[in-house]
Amino acid sequence: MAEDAVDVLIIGAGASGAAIAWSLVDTRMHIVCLEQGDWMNPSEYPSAHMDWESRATEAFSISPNRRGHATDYPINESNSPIAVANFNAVGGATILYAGHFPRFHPSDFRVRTLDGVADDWPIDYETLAPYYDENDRMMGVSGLAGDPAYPPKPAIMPPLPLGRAGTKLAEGFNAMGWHWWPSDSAIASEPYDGRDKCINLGACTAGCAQGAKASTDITYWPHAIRAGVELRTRCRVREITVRKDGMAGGAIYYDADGVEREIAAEVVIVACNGVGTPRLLLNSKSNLFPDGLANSSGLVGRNLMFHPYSAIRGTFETDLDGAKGPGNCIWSQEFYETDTSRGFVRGFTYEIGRGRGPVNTAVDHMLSGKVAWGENHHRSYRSVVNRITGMVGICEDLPEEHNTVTLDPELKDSDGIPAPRIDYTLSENSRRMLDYSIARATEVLEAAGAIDVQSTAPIPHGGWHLMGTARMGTDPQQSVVNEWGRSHDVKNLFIVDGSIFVTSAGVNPTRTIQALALYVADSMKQRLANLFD
Amino acid sequence: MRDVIASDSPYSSEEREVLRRVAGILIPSSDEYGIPGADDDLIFARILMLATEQAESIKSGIDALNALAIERHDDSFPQLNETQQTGLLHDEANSGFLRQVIRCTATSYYQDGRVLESIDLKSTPPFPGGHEIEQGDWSLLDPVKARAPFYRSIKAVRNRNV
Repeated sequence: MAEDAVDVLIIGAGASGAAIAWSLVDTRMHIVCLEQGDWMNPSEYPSAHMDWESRATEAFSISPNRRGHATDYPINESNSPIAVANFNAVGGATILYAGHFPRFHPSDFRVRTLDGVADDWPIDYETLAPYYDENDRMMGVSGLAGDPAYPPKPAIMPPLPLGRAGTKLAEGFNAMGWHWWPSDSAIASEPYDGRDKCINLGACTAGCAQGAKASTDITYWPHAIRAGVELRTRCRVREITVRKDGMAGGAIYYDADGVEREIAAEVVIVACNGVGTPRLLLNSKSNLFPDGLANSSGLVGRNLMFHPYSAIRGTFETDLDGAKGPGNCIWSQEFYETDTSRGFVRGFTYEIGRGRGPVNTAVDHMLSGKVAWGENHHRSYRSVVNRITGMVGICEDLPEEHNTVTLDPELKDSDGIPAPRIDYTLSENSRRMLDYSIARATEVLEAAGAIDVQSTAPIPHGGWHLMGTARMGTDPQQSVVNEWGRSHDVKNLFIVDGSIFVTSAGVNPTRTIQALALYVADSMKQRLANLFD
Repeated sequence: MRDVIASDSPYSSEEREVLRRVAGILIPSSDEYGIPGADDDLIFARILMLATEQAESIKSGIDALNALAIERHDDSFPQLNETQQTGLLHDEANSGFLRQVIRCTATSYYQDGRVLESIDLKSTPPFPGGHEIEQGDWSLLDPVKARAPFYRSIKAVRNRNV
């Protein structure tokens, strides 16, 4: 029997769970959010410590398998060239994301119509535009209006500085005659909503000790909690329960002491990301739903999309920014829209970084032999440290049903809940796009004066973006949720994270995930009288 | 930084002697830059800490290095002169052992405040002091600002949703 009953149960306190909790609070419903992780303590973030580069690869590693925190769950990713990156805490992966914050483009919602691949979304850019704007205000976005790669959109704070690295690469893009623009960043370039401005710590992807980066533990959650949302940490949900009438009944979860508890809810909202959400739905088997909850289409866990990333770096003859400054700098969308003469469909964004830390520079270059060890080490090292910059290519990944999240038959988390297994193959289209992105980036770097260019593709541990495993659509046989996030099968079950993406676009997804969450919340509020019809 | 207590180390004193010598060869001290080598007490203590996780394979590597020293020079690695030691390490340059030791050594060395100061970085954590970043040359954006919008319009296209 349930210990307590609430109106709305949200599972997951990351990017989307925080947004929808905040938006629904004005309904005055009793809202509880269960989060398996803890609140973060910024004083523990790596940038507050001398050994920040070590800490960023250990306790704050992007890999849950590497971290192995009690709040993490393991992932069998042995059959994937790209490993999952996530974080389990209040704020979710926004704790470790870069805050690189592009929107989707209008064409991203119409890929079938425009390019004959994948499927169109059941909504369009114009539908999401007001929610993008609202989310931008809540998160606090730095940028510059007027980007010719986008429809007009507001800029809330000034862009982050170009610095030496951005200036150098801007020269390279200009020499090629290619687009670049200061990146939209979820990093405060001036004091904003109680947060202080960025002071260029340079370790954004291991948590921002300054609080300038917009992780949802310091953006949405303080507002939502002040307005009455209850957030319970260290609560790991095992399954969503089902009532006799086939509606979701709530959830069974384990508290911090491993004690099994149950909570009843009139509405259940899943916000566990593109791996955690299908894992939870597939673990929620019942007599009514023997193949997992909301899975009559058989598509829960299918169509997993990452963004295959290329990484291209150049070494220059003058000092740049090194590890100083936010990783976000400028972007290029010269190759974003489809041009079939390139040998692939769809496109990619270049996300230009700053530089590398002293440890990463030393380790990589000593292991590759580019920096000597022994008596010539110091001169050799000084020829590269603080002189490296470059970019990553974020390639659009198209949905393919054989790329899946399933339940591993053996692997379990510390509460005995079956863990997810990833089976993923890089498509030929992605391989061609990665190769193309490396070739063009090499040209930019050389035009900017790089004397040595190195590249990697795909980035093996670059599975930051988890999408497509509970896709939205109007046809219940071809999608898991409808055009406003409600399960086709279970009419009081909603999904709001990246798993509902139909396609991945060629940009970081968090801004769109949150805009979708706000859009779903608004759709629910407009239908409160007949939400389950 | 966690404290390292010698008695907690999985390495014997003989093994620590080999590791310390290898670290000192990989990154020696420099009078020119006024910095210690990786065999410095503080830096080596961190190397030992970092090398704990892979202790089993590193200890095997130390055994192999000593065996090679005896095979080539009839003496264990610590007893060889620097030329002999360096020669053996060059022969082992692609071994998993040396790659692990390079990783631990470089990681420890380049988080030492004395070393960081020598490459114009702060000898303090990034927070709370932060760093200065130049604004850069924003005039470079002028030609891009002059470019016409080039995103694809979707007006008048028919939705072919699932």
